[in-house]
Amino acid sequence: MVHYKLVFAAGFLPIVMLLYQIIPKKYRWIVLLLASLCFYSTFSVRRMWFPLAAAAITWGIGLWLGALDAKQKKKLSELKAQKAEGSIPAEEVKTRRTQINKHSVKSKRAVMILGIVLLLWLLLSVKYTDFALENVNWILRKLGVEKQAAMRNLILPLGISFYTLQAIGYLVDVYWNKVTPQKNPLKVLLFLSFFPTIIQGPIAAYEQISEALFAGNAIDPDNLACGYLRLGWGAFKKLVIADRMYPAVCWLYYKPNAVGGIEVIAAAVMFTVMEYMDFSGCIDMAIGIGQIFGIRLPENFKQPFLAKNASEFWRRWHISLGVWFKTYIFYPVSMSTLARNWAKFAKEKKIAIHPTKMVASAMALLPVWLCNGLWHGPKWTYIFYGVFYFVVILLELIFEPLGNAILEKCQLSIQSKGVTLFRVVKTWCVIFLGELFFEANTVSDGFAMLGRMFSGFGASIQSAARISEWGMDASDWVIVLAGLLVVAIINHYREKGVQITAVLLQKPLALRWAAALSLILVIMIFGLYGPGYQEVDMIYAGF
Amino acid sequence: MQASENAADKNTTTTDASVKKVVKTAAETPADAMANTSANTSANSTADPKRRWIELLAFLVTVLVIMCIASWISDPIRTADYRRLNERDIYVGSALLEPENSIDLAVLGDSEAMVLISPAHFAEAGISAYIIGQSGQSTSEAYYALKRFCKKQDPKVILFEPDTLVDDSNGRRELIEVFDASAYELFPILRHHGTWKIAAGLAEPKDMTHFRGFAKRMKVKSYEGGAYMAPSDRAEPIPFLSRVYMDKICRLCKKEGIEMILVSAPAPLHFTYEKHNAIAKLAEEEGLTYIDFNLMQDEIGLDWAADMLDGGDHVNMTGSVKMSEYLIPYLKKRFDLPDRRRQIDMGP
Repeated sequence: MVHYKLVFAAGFLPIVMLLYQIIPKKYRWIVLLLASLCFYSTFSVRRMWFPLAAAAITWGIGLWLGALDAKQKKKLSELKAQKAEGSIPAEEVKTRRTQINKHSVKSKRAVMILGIVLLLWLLLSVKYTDFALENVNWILRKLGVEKQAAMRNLILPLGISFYTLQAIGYLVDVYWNKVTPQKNPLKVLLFLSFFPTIIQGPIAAYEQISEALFAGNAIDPDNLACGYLRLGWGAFKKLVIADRMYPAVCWLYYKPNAVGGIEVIAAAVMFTVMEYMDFSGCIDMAIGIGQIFGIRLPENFKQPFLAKNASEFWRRWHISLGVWFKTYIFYPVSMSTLARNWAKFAKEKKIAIHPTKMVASAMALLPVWLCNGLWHGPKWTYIFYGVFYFVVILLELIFEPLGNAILEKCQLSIQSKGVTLFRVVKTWCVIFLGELFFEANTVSDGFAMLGRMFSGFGASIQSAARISEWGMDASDWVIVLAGLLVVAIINHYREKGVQITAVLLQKPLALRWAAALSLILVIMIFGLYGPGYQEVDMIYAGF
Repeated sequence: MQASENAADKNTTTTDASVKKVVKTAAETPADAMANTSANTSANSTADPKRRWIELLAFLVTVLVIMCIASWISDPIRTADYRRLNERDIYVGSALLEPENSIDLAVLGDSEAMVLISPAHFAEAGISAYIIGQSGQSTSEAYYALKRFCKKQDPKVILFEPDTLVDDSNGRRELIEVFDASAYELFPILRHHGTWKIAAGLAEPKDMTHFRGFAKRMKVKSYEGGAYMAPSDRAEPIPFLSRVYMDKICRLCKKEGIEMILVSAPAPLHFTYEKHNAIAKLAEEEGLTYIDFNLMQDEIGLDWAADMLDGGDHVNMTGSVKMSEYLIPYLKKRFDLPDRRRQIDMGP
């Protein structure tokens, strides 16, 4: 059962809403927890122990960190009392306070690392074991060793990549004293397994959603209407647009060495658009469901194709993942002893500011992009994808002063429409190139397609004529293009800061109903669902 | 008049502007988000919540009415436009295209049913048989397929391949399947919406030429796993809703005067004695005959090396023929089936 299924929207969700509403406020979070477990069980009962174990680790380590913090505070207050009594000399108070703090930080860090290691072990054991074995086998083959390790072919438990990040984020936040550790293990379980976010996020921080998640506020009719509207909007993007493009994308990627230059460009562009429609559609659904229960989940997309450079693209695309990496990897590495030592060294050697900044950025960006690539899955194409963005972003930083100088010389403003358009188109090229490798079977397939983009242009006319073989007929193209136009218009208003559902709610009844009914009818008639259709899995659910 | 319109415009503009303002100031940071968590849109609403609830209810009723009307207009069963049926219903659809009351035996069930008999061999023996199974057909789907089939046909015998009742994966899925099947039955537009291209003249209907629902497969991949029906007293549980729909099928058969027989096709890869026991128990409870070819390998002369399609999951053409050769005399002896040798069109 997934969010865009009829049984979810018209069966499961209304039942959960009804139970939630009739149960006393204090216990409403239990309804959400039971609904989440029930939702998970429709995918797998056997693998349910993964979120349960992650929740147990997160809860236990969180409490341990809280206990260490309380111990530190108690010791400090005792010291304060002793100081007030005058039983300890003032100089010793300072030494002892430093000792207490140092010792506490050391033990808290060790406990936090233990928690992170346990959580990562859960993730790595199912997600990366075969990848590691494959690479070990490859090395053995190269060394002439005949013996090969057997693959374990483990099935990835639903949502593990997403809730592991939420759990690690929670532990680090507790360590940083940003949040108070949750005493109730079931509430931690709800935070990690909340049914709108379990499949593919958005990755929410504990402080972002915990209050509303456990508050049990009654369902508000406006939130209900807007939530369902957002759910429908997501279903429109997924079922009407993304799934309709799927056969063409499969066809274009099926034989990477056989497609022509234009087809390679079409493959990269169509996969990117399909991925955006699929992923952002599913996130819209998750946000809409959260909204029904008065829970504001973080936005994950902010018109990514309007980005003017790769860094901005990642501030607009899969935002919750970017924020997570920024908060828990980029900043800590930027503040690390290594980074500080580099800054000190550069100052001593009088290295210019720009290269100093570049090296510091590279130090913090490399782990971010390696982790980003690896997080997507155990494939070299994903690692390549991460490294690709690391290089592109670094090049953008390196050449930024040069670009500014050229603009100044040409007397052009960076804000001018022409320059903005050029920058947006340049970013599109980067995005499409990245996605070409992201979706390719192997890195060498990606390079083969890239090569054909240039060398295969001679056969482009012929290959373009094969468009009818892509699995989409003229009416499919019309629906996809019309759908994309509607999405572009809505995104245009969103970019201007207009929240469509809220604005719609203020409009006259006839207009509101017409909009909602049109959306329902379009999904009902043009959506790809129901018997006779091969369901297209959500792309990010596989990560 | 002009003044009041201006005032109205002004009000609308103010409202929109205030909405934009609320939205723009709405939380972007986690801390801000917390402050707004429980009131995403309600802060924007000025209407009475009671009125909003009534509006929502009225909207829901409107949606249901529209769906009913759209379903009524577009229902290919009601309009007898069987070529516009959902691709999954292609066999029921083609059976409905046959002359009225011309089919005396129908086969229901999942992919095992689609290879259970060879209708061509039945036709040679004068029996008008049709397979109306579907790949992965659930019990609820089987019920609705039979209901649809009986609208135009008056079969004397139904052969039900009960694999779907004891399929290991069905238990967890069955609630979802029953919900979907009921919703599609209630609102046919949800089931047949994909055929809008045919209705609009943008696509041709699917070719319905086939062998009366028979999945004619000549490929051979032998079964090499050895004996698999080790006697046991244990019976595999039949999921609750599957049992409910099985009862419904039995009641429908009684109402229509149809005799139902349970027939299990040989499937050494996944069939067990425990599954046999479960079906035998059900047959006893419902007073049905149960024929299990998994226990009749020697009787019908089944050869694991030559009669299997995919290594033991399904039989191939020769396996189907062997089962047909057993069933034809059995059915002829037990039922008074008309000889329709000259009326049956097996297609090209």
